[in-house]
Amino acid sequence: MEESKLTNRRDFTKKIIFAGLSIPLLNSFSFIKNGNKKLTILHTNDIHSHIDSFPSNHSRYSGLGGLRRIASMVKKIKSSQKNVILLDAGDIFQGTPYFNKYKGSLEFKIMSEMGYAASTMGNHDFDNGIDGFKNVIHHANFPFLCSNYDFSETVLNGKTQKFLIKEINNIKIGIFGIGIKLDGLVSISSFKKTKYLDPLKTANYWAQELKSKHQCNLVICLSHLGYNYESDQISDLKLAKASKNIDVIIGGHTHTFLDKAQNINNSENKNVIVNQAGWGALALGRIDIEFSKKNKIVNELSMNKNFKKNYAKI
Amino acid sequence: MDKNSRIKYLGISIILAILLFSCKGYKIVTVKSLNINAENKIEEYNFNELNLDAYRDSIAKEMDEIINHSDVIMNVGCPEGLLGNFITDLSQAYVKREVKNTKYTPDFCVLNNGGFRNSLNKGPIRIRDIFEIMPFDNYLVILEIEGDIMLKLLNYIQEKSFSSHQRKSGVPLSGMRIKLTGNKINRCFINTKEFNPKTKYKILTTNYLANGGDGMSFLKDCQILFNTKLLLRDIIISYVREIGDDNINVNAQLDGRIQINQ
Repeated sequence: MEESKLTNRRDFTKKIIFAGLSIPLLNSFSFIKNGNKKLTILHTNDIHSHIDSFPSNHSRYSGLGGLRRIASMVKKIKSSQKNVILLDAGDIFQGTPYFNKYKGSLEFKIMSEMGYAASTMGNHDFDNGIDGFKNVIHHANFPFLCSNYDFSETVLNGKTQKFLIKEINNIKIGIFGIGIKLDGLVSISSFKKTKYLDPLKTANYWAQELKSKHQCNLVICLSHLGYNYESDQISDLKLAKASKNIDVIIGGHTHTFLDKAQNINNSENKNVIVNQAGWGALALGRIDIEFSKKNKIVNELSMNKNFKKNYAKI
Repeated sequence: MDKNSRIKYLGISIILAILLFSCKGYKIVTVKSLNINAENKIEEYNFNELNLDAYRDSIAKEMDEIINHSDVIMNVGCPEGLLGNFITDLSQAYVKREVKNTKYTPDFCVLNNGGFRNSLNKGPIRIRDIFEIMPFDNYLVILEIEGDIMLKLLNYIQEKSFSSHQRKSGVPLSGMRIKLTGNKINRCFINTKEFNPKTKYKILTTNYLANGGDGMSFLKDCQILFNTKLLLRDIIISYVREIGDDNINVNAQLDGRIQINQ
């Protein structure tokens, strides 16, 4: 009896070792075809409760946009791309009667169904106060990444995360979130004892942690700082330039429509990809990244000509 | 630790090492990007599992009521815009009528364009449209503003009148006329009288701005004379409905309340 248990255990151990060995074996098989790994980042920002499309009498966006439409687009892309991560950069709340009536719970339920991996908090997510946010957060099955809001003396203590690590197709992705300064934008009665930490320092700190300590292959910053300002206010472009170890900044707040992600040189002259997808669920940001163990970097963003051809029509 | 568990731990650590190693070394080689617009030919997913229709129906009845018609499209503008003129004028008029005690009667009204989240479309006006313009539960308060703070407000208006940032430029106001020359405030009238820095004025604004919102931190130093407890959105709805009941369509004009002389 004792003996057979031991044998079983030995078998089990052997199986584990075999299983372990078979992983690089499988990897090397795929290497024969193409050792590169692909990842598609899909993202939204400033959804502002636009679940349905804009009303037919809207002066600019009649019949366009809406989270329900974004959901169809995500489903379609997921049907042809295996490795997809869906992210949001904040300001989910406020903009249609859905929010006034259901306080954000419906937006969270829909986004949970859609398979969002993470979001961060925008200034409007404080519109019903941090208490209002806390009351509906349980409807979201994805985490809110707030790295530079210190909620320790508020009701949100322990309800948000500083960072998230996701592994998709053997690519380790580290994600954190940077919010905008609340003072002057959100009334103090709403953010209460939230402490604001320096966005650049915080971003560089978590990027370093994720890149070096956690060995992430890709570091993504979800930012609600805004794309760019004439003033010296910190923005995604300024953050990108002064950053280290951030690969991608997914932005929001300024409702900026970009045709495609932009390349920015960081403080070490390395490339940072910065993107934003308008607002009101009018656009879905898409970034396709290919990873390789070889170091030949071909960043097609800077030599983009026939891009539209590379994408199936949606 | 017996031999077996040692083997087990060895096995597990080999697996961990392999897993770690299998991730390690992967670097970005190509990046492609193309953002996709959510055009109307794309089907809207129904979320049957959430029974979205039930949510929609329960608000539709209230929200789809037509309360009036607008003769024009009203947008925010800089230095003045139809939407800002319309909403500040009606707020001032409504509060003057509702707040009976004359010691609180506001001299002028200042709001912010950033707070108007949509434009008013030409044609039928539904309650929903007003919700989309003013989704915030902001209420109107009356502040007492002294000369030095008033000067900060005028500087703020001057700066915003020259700003080119789409959503952040222009200050909607009523009961005040300002002439700007170059980058300077040339003249300012509060109603019919020239602005006097020694006079205390009463300003109608939202609790959001009174708390220093949208960069108006100087308003935090003003004393709150009276809280109307009236939601700005409710006032807009009441006013639009009232004039509709009198068969008057909604309209607004640009009247040079903020003038820029080159």
